[in-house]
Amino acid sequence: MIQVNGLTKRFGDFPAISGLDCTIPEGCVYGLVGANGAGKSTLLRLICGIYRPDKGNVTLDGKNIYENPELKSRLAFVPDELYFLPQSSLARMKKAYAAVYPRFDSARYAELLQVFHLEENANLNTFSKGMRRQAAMVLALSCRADFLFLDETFDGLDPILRNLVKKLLYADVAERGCTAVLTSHSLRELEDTCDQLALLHKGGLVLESDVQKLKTTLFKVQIAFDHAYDHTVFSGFDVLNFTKHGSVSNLIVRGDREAVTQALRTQSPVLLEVLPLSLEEVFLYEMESLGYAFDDEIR
Amino acid sequence: MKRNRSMLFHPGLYVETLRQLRLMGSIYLVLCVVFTIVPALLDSLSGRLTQPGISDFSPPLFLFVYVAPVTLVYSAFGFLTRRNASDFYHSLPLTRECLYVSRVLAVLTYLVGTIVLSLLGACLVYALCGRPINLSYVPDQFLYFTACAALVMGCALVGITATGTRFSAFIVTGIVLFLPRFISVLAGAMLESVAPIFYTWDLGPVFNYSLNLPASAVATLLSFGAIGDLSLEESMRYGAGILYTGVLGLGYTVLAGFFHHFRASETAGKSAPNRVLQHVYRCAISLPVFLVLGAALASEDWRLLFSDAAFFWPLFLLALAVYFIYELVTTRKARNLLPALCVLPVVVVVGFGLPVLGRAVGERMLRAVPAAEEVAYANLGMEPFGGMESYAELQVSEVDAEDEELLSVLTGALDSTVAMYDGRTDSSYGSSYFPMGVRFHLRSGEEITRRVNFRDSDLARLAALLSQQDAYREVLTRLPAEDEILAVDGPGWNQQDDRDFFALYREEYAALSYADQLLLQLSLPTYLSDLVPASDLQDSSLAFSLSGVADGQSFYTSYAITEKTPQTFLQAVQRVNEESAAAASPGEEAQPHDAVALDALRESAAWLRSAEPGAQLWAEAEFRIYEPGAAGRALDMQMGLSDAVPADYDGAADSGPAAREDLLGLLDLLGDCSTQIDSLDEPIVGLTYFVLQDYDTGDGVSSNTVYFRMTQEQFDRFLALTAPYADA
Repeated sequence: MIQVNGLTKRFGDFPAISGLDCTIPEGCVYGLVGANGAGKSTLLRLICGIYRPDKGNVTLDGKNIYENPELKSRLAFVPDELYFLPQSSLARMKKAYAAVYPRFDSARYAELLQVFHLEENANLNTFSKGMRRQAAMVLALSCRADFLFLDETFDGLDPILRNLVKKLLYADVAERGCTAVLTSHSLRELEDTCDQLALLHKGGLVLESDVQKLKTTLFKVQIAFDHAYDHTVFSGFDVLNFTKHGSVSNLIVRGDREAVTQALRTQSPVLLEVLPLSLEEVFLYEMESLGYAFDDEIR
Repeated sequence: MKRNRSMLFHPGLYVETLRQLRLMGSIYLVLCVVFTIVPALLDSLSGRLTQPGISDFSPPLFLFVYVAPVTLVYSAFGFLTRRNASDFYHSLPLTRECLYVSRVLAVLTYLVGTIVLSLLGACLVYALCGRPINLSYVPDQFLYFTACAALVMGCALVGITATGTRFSAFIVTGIVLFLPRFISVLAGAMLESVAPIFYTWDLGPVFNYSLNLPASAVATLLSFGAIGDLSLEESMRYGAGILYTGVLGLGYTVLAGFFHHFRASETAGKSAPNRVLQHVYRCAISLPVFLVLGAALASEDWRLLFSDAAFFWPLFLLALAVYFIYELVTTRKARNLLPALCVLPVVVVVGFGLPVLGRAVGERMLRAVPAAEEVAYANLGMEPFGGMESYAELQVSEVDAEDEELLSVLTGALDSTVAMYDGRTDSSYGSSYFPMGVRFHLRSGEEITRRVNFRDSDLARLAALLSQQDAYREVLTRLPAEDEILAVDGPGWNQQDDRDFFALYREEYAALSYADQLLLQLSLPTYLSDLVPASDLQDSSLAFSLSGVADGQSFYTSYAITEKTPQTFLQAVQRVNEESAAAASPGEEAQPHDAVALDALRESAAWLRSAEPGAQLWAEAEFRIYEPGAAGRALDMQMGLSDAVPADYDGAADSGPAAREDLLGLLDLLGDCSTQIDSLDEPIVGLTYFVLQDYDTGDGVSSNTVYFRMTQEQFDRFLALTAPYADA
């Protein structure tokens, strides 16, 4: 389990992470989403023990990660900006990884090389962006880590390779119970990959929830009555957003779908439709309800 | 392998780093070894078979110790200057200490390996070519180069761990390596300008410029030898310097380890970890110029030179430019110039204030003169150990002078010296004095070394007092011990022959009286030269020259070979006559010296006979005369041989046809004399210098040294022919 307690990190005068708390359960595929500059990469580096927090701490299985090589040997990190040794090939990087990661599995490495169809002895500088990310994934997955941290996981990958990466991640999570933390600025990328999602905004965690729960507890209701009405009609419900055009209203409601539907029917609407929301819409409305305007996301 | 939190070294990372540095390290290794072996081979094959000096083994290493450590460190720790690379290395399952130590050891492997293989390569070449090697040079060189490389490596490590870009790392490396010594050199120069009585090296290690070997080498090079007390060869055997340099290098390496431990990964890409250090670096790089300006104002000597507005203001503007340009180049933000401006007064105050403080301290120290009764004893001739002193000078400096009268002379001279520099007197010294270092050991336990100016009267009194004291008499005539001698240069065929010669000389020398031994000294301390009358000064052309090390200090000293050591003398003159002429033309067989000399004399006579009467010829000759039962003496002569000599010719009175006849007679006489010398029962005349030249055309004939044995009749004729032309 990964525990983040009161984490704060500043770069000069800029607060990258402010008093962040979160818990990432074991065996979970945890997604971190947020706009550019929200602090995703910083948080990931703090969790990996690359950055030293100004306040708070990060523990993995109850142990502080910073300057803990034993713990670090159980994690693998793939950054957003990839780094390889200068003028190196995959074979060369493999030697470097094998030298420092005690669990590095050469057989797994060879297997993944076949899966991704990568040339082992070619200079990595000749690889495309997507191929470089594949190479980084091969190396990270070969480390047999208990914790996988992937920043901008699918950046540069085509849909087929994205599926492949997802399958490999699931396999590791399912077979070895490893915990994966993925970041992305795109909810769509993480929607069908992660068990849990967290939204980072200006260095703080504003929303954290199970994905399934998010999808089912927030939904859109389209309703119309044959008499005049206003939003007070729905005061008994947890309405995040209400818009009315003519006699038709659109509501974003949080709650049990069946119960809400049943309750609305008792008011004899002429129109009642319950529509699911995309995860993006869920996040959007949740953020609005928390007081974060959409304009804040534009930098 | 057990991997735990406390592991300080990771073999896998060490090997990986060796792999990463392989290309650069190999290039350095190949270049150093090749440029060591090839020149040594070519030099040996050209016929030079003498023992190589300590600095001759591997010249490329002198540049290697500056360039390689910096480039290898920057390569091994270059990840600290790039964000993604820094994050990668800090994500590895290693402690920062382990990462640091493993990579430093890999760098050291290439440095030490290159040094060892280069030196071994040189030894191998010399051994295969049959050249003698002083094996003690090898460990000395290894320690010297390793210490220098370690210090430069330490400075580079401090630079790269205390900054986040290569440019600022390079700047900080230079600051760490050179700025402290620059400040101490400037401070020492300030003190010496305020009070020339100080020897800065005596004021403590901080002022001993020679301790920091890499910095002092650069300072000596850039100042054309003005700064620095040791020659390169002496530096390479300077144990204190090697130890200091090595320990300092280790210290910087450890300091850099601390920086690395506390350094944030996000420092990569920034010129400094924080604004405070940025201010420090910026101030440090501009400080030298401000210090020079401050010293210019604080020192009276320098004020004349440096305070000229045409010099001062451009320098001041240069200092400001360096200060602000550094900020712009490293941060690329013009808005940082304003905070930089706020810190500027600090470096200006330090730059101008330190020299003023130094001047005040110097003046205070100048006036601290001990009274005679405060001095327990003193040592003479405490010169900076850079000069090549004679053996006698070294030995004299070891004697503790306790005589009250002697101490009175010394403290009186010191007092007069201080008065002179303090402006309290300006006439007592006149224009001539002899400066000498004197170490005063006070009864309080304190020791001070001062450069004391001795007037001629002081020197005469000093010489008289010293010659009365057994301790000084003994050391003045003591010969170096066998194990103190590194090389002997004498009339022998080779080094071993010279050593055997000197052993014979040592036996004969030991049987001589003090006065006779004194007469053989060619390297008496200058301030004691009055002990031996000028007229009795020996000819140095037949002598032993010894170089060596005594008590860690190098010496070079000479002893005359005269009739007072008869066996040595006879063998020496015979050897001189027999030795093949080294100047034989290619393809010609080398001739013995006496044959060559006689040919030259015959050629001179033939030329003289065939010369036109109006030819502007002149001749010069130096003889060394050894009469049985008499001390050897010199006879120098000059002869104008033309019918009409120039009016400005000094020897006009001893010139003309008569001189020509006399010279012809002399040449014929010498041609008849024997050069086989096996006894001192007959007069021996050595021709140590001869030239016959046409004043107008410059054509001439000269002769090498040759010794003649004369009958009494020949000798009398010789004296008669030379008497009119001998210098008084």
